[in-house]
Amino acid sequence: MNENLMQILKNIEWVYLIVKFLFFTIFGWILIGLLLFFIVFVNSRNEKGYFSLGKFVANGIEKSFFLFSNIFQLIVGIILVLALISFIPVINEAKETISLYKDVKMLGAALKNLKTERKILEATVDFTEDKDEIVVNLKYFAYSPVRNTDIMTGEAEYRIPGSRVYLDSIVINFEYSLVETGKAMNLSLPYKIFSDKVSFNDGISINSMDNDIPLSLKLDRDDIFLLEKEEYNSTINNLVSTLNDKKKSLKMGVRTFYSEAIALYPAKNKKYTIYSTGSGGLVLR
Amino acid sequence: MKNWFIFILFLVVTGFLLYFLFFYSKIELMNKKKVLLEEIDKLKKEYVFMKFNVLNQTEDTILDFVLYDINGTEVTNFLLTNKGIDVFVESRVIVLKKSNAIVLPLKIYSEVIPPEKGTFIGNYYFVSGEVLLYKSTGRELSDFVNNLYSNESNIKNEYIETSFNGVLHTLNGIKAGKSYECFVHINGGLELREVDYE
Repeated sequence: MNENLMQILKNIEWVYLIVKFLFFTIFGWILIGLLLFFIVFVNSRNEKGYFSLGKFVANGIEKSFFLFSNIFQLIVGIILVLALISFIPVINEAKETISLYKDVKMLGAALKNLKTERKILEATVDFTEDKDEIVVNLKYFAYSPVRNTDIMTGEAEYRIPGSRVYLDSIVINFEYSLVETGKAMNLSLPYKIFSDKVSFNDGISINSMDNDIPLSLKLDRDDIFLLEKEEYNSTINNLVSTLNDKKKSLKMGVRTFYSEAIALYPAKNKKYTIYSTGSGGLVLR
Repeated sequence: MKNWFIFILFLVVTGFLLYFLFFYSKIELMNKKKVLLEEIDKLKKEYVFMKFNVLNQTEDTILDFVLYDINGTEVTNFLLTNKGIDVFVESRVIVLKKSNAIVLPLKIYSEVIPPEKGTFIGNYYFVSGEVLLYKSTGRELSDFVNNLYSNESNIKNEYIETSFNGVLHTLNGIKAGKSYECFVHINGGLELREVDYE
């Protein structure tokens, strides 16, 4: 609709430019005078086809009289042209307003994408009865573009000695411009748990997979847009495999990739939720 | 003649009305655009609070740490030796309701050193009851952070949106001769990136 309006405004501008040239420039009036002269001259031939000065003068007087007798219409015409000219600033304002509206709409979408938080994990953390170990119950989530929400893709329970547990994830942040335009979404793949007493190397893998696809990216056929499930799985596998290649990942628009662990303390009836953020990194809520 | 006059008057009045309508809409949209751009810039802003250079990587890794305040001014630097091939930087992240995140680096350890045996680094920037990382932010925030550092549990929840300990480390280990930057976004998201050695 905005494009149509812009086209109409463009056409009005052309009409304005022609009228402005004819009536508001000396060359325009010279052109009108020449045209009048030409019309009078052409109509000033006698029966034999020769130019007749008497006819030329008579024709000239007739046309001039016609012009002066219609002076009112001419004045109205000029006022109409003036009215049209007064619309030019309106047209320019309209054009600028439409362009600004487009910018604001685009920036609003960019801000929304940067502010987006996608649920990665839900966790409950509690001690075992003898307080020897921590029991971590994890629910995995993946974003479904079809439902525009995070859907649960799996659940698992882990036990580890210590008094606080660290949930470690691989974090992949894309270029801001890609996130802003909605062409990419930052990703996070749960990888390991370790604790205050158990080092990362001795930790437990939480990189749960289903058919070689991490649970945080696993989607059913009904939750995938455009791509076939096999195609989607192959895209995910490609992404995961290219992360170790810095050049390839940069080419894909990856801004930063690293690991981030979030510490959780055992607490009864407390649910922790870890989100991947649009601007980069993880947050706990 | 009367009809012509009314028609022209109608055109002129409509022109004026449309002009002012678009003019004020434009001002409104310009203000909105300015606010949106500021918000986007804020979200993309990266506060680099720590940088470390990997000086040597034989049996032990020798690391040169630099801490920066919120304005990017170097606050302190120190050397640490660490076992293993990776560096784990644990920080306390406090996200305030006023769209701001405070980050306090706490410990350094590695893939082979568990967090409880990590090296505490708070004493490098908490000097004489002051958190040097936020000293230049003005009295109100500086006092708030000093209080927060000393006793977070005493801070009212009405100021804090969320808080957590986040640990940054690389995917495949650090490399000698390389530098790494740790930074935080205003929503509390932490990031780590490899940078050219300076």
